[in-house]
Amino acid sequence: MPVVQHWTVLLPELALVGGAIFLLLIDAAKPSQRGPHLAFITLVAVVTSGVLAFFQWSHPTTSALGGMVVGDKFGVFARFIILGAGFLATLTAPAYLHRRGLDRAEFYALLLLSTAGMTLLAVSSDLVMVFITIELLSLALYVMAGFERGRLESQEASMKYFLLGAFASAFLLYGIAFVFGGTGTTNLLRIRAETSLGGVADFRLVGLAVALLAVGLGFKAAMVPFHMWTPDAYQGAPTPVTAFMAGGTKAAAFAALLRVLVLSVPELRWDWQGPLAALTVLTVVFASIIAVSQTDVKRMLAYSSISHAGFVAIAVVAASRSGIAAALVYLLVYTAMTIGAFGCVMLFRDGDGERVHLAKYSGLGVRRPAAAALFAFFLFSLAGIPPTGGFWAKWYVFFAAIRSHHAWLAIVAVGASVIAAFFYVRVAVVMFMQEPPEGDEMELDSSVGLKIALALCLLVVVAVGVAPGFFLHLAEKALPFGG
Amino acid sequence: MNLSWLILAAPLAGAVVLLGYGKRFGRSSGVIACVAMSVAFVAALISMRWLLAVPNGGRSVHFHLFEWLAVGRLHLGVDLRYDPLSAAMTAMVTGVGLLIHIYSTGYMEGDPRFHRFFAYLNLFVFSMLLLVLADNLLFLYAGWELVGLCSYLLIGFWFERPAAATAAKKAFITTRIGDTGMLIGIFVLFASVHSLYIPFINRAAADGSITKTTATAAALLLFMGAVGKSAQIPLYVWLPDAMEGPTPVSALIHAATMVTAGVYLVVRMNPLYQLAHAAAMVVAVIGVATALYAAILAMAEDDIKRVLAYSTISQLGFMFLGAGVGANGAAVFHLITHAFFKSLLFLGAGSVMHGLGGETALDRMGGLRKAMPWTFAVMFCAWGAITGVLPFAGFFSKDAIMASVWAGGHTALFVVGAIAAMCTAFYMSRLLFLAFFGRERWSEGVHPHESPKSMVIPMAILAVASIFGGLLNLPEGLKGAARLSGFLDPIVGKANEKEALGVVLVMWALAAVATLGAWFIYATGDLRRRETVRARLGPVNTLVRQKFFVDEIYATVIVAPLRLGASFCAGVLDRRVIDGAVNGAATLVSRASEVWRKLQTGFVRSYAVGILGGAALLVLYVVVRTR
Amino acid sequence: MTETHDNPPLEGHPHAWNEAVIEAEAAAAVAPRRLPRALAAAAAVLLVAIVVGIVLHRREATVGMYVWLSMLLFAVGAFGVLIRRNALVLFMCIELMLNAANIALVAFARGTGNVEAHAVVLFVMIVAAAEVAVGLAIIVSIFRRRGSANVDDLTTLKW
Repeated sequence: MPVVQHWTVLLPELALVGGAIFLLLIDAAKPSQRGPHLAFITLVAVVTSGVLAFFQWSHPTTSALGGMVVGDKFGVFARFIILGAGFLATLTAPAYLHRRGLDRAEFYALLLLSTAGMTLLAVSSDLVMVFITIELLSLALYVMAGFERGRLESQEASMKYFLLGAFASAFLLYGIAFVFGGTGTTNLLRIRAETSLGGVADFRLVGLAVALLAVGLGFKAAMVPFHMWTPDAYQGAPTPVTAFMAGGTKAAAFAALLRVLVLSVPELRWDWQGPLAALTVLTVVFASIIAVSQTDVKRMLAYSSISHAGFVAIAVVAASRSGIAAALVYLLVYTAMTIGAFGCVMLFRDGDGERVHLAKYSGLGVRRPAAAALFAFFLFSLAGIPPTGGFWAKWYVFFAAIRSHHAWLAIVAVGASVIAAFFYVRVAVVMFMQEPPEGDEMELDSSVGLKIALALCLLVVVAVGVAPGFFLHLAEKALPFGG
Repeated sequence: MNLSWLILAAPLAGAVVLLGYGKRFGRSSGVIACVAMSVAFVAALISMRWLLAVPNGGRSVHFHLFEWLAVGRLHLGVDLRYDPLSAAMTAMVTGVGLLIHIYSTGYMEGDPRFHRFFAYLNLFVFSMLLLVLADNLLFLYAGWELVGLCSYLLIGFWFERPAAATAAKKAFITTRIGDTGMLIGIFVLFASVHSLYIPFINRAAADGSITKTTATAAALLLFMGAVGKSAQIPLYVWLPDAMEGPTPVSALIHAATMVTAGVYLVVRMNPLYQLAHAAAMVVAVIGVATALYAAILAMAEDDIKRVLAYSTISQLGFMFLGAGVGANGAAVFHLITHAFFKSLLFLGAGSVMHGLGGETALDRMGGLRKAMPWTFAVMFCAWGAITGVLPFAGFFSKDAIMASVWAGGHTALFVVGAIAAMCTAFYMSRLLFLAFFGRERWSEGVHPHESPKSMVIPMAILAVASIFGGLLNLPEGLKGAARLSGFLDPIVGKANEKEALGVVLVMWALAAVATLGAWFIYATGDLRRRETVRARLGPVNTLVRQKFFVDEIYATVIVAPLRLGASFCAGVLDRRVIDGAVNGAATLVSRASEVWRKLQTGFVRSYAVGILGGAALLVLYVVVRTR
Repeated sequence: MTETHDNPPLEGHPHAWNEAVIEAEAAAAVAPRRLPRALAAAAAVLLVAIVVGIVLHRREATVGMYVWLSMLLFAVGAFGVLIRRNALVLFMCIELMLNAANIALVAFARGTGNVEAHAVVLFVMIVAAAEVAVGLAIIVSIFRRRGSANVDDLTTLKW
């Protein structure tokens, strides 16, 4: 247990919250202001936070707030993924919001608050903190999902996400209550001590609690059968928000799931590995199969993100060092390629809106070969086709599963990814093999921020594809609580 | 200072820039490619100087660029090995590559895909350098496949011509056959020593931790790859057709560099071949057989580039002969001199074609000596080198191989090799005389002219290299030590090399007889004597002119049954059985998809049912389990 | 209002901006048109439970009893989410579930003699208050647009 207590662990989050407050203040000083400076302030806050987090990498493990938050390498790695998602979403947002007259300071403030919630979730070492941060990130996301108030889909997404999110939090909280009942504490490390040999835990209550916690965290991570909000919320929400949710929330939720399941109740491993494996199989198979018949590209990508949650969960089931490292690498690649894919959807304009229906993609590869090739690259990476980063991510996850004697899980997942490859490749086929319709010039969005974001995503996916060993090596160093 | 990373990085950067933005640079993309190559060449020279400063014996450096993959026992980094062998290869590849790049700026002038050509060329050089610098077999194989890909792209560069597209396909598929064997060989080695690192494998072969059987199997499988890439019997058929590509490509890829990759592989893995003696003999026999066979074919070929293609196959056969009998140093020496004079021959041929408006038939040349003096002069130097006239480079290198063969006591191999050398002298003299001497036979309206400076200067440099290349490795009998051999020996092993004056004299006499014969038949103005000779030879002539019907034999014996099998597989097996299964599975999935997606009803409360149901199941599991 | 353009009045709802009408409709929506039998049953169970709880409390209630009570409340809340259509009522049911958890926390705190859980309960209350603010805003926003708080009307996004 980290003995050293120091508030500096929270500096990255303070930077984010500070940025949010600053945005709200300048909005109060001069109401309804718009413009790129808002996004710029957001970017500065995110980058500052990243720099502050970076300095913690070389520090020994510390904790803050009486052990509710821990500063370890695992947290830094997860924070980087989340901050990356926030950074990319901020880059893509201004053009999108501007076109719809929504580029207001609240949006960016909410984005920063939500990011702060996610990063805090990734470093929480107490279940109370987990609950509060989940609420923090969710409350902001509920509003962001419904930010496009003029569009019914956006409102509907917000409403569904909110009701179900609150419903799932109730399960999470009830789980926390049972943990407290079973062990007398909500601190993850003390839970670990109480559930180990010589502890005084009531295992019936803890078992119930773990089940309920899995419901709450599985909801955020979008695992079947707690996934049903995902397609609707992702499809309805403004696309930058979708990209952010898909990338950041998943990373934060899995960071918390790893801390809770693998670290605080490792002794109950034989109890939770089985059910979680079942959920995992359900997730990858179900999501991949349903995605096959989707015709809305955003919705298809939503199902794809559900199936990817299943792949990360395989690494959680492995419950080993290599599993944790594999999960981190997977989340890194997944965030880059998913935001890249959603970014491409934003790139393909259709008049003032987006090109979301699959039929509208026909011939895109003929008219806009470079952009279509980029989209195809992200899709191939999502499908796990070598030598993209997505391939190595899957490779490491499967390897971790095999090493922890869950080879069957890897085999099922490979089967599901074959199904998944079908709908990813289908988009590429539609883009490149079909003739473009007459009179559709297929203009691209000219926003610079979006282009930078796409370039960054490409960079990450290619970098992991070229040097996966380097990233795995980093992730292996990033063990929760310093090992 | 060792700059091996820069040697690799420069052409790669050039390729990336040109692939991405080539169109924007237009004409200047040639300059960019040349600059990239110059950087690589200078880096290669600097690295070479650095290596020479290290005392002999310790000249092998390993560079770990980054960890690429670590799974279980398999650790693979992107690693480079810089030792005398790779140093010699990189210097040759970058040097000849640079000259050919410069030549291409003149030759490809006005081509609509000018920038694309240089992008591919740079990519090729990068791949080739990766191949020779790689420290493990996986990256060597990656380079191996990449050069194959570039070769495919460049042979089919003028893909509007059906012949070019077909030739590119043929080259790719034929070499792939060999590559498959090579890949299996790599797997065999990995299974046996659990490593893909070349020094590790070589050490294992040297200290006997690989069994002789495994070594023989692996060596033969690796040699399969070499046979495909270096166009040896029976997989040589793609190289003559590959002449459909632009001539600089033929010079760089199909003469100087890529086709020698097979020789490099055998030399690089020499401890394996030393252990697997039978495999080494196979290498030597196939080498010498190819040398003779291709030389015979070259004597009856009328297309200037195809003569050179057969000549390349034949010369590669000599290199394999050397490598097979253990004269690795001599093989590498011949590889390098051959790179000089053969690329010079190709560039000269390209220059002739340039001057004649794309003409390749020897029958419609003649008397070009006066119209293209520079081209003639450099071609003469190349002729001297390949025929083995003292003091041209080829004399020393071919002689070194033959001397080793003789000294090793392989009399039969020596006799066949000597006959092949004689044929070489004949067909090369024939080419020279038909093109540059005798009566002018070119078509109406063609006005031969000398090529631009950008083409002549690289040729002149290569001509100088062809003349003095022999100085790299003077025989021990003559003054001065065997420099290149001494440089390479720590890596490739000391060859059984005794200088025999007799060998030299025999080779000379044979070459002189062949040259005189060619002069008698071809150097006069008309082609009547040639007709007489043809008539005398009768069926033999037909047989050789039809290339022993090998293409036809392959077509009937291999391709046709495969087609039949393929159409059976496609028509019956695939459509009925496999397609049926796949379609069935696909239908099943999409049906399931259509049904299951309806579970997502849109009613938020039904989603809550999902959550509650999932939670209930989990809780039930816990309750049952803890009971 | 500065953001009027975000809320174009729906066709067929010409008076959607009339606050009085909105309030009336909201009241109508919140007021149950008919009390579902299931909820009545649940309410009865709840009432019985509370009474039983009070009675038992007189007789020195154990922690376990409070836990059972919280489970009951949680179940009632979850059940309510499934059967009610009005977004506000749904939300109230969720609040019920949160408070069930609070009861459990307090009960366990009593059982283990560890008062940390009391602090947790306070946190939960604050979070729940924030959730109410956001939730009501979302519900009102959608109500303004559609003139209904019935969650079953929201089925544009499906399949």
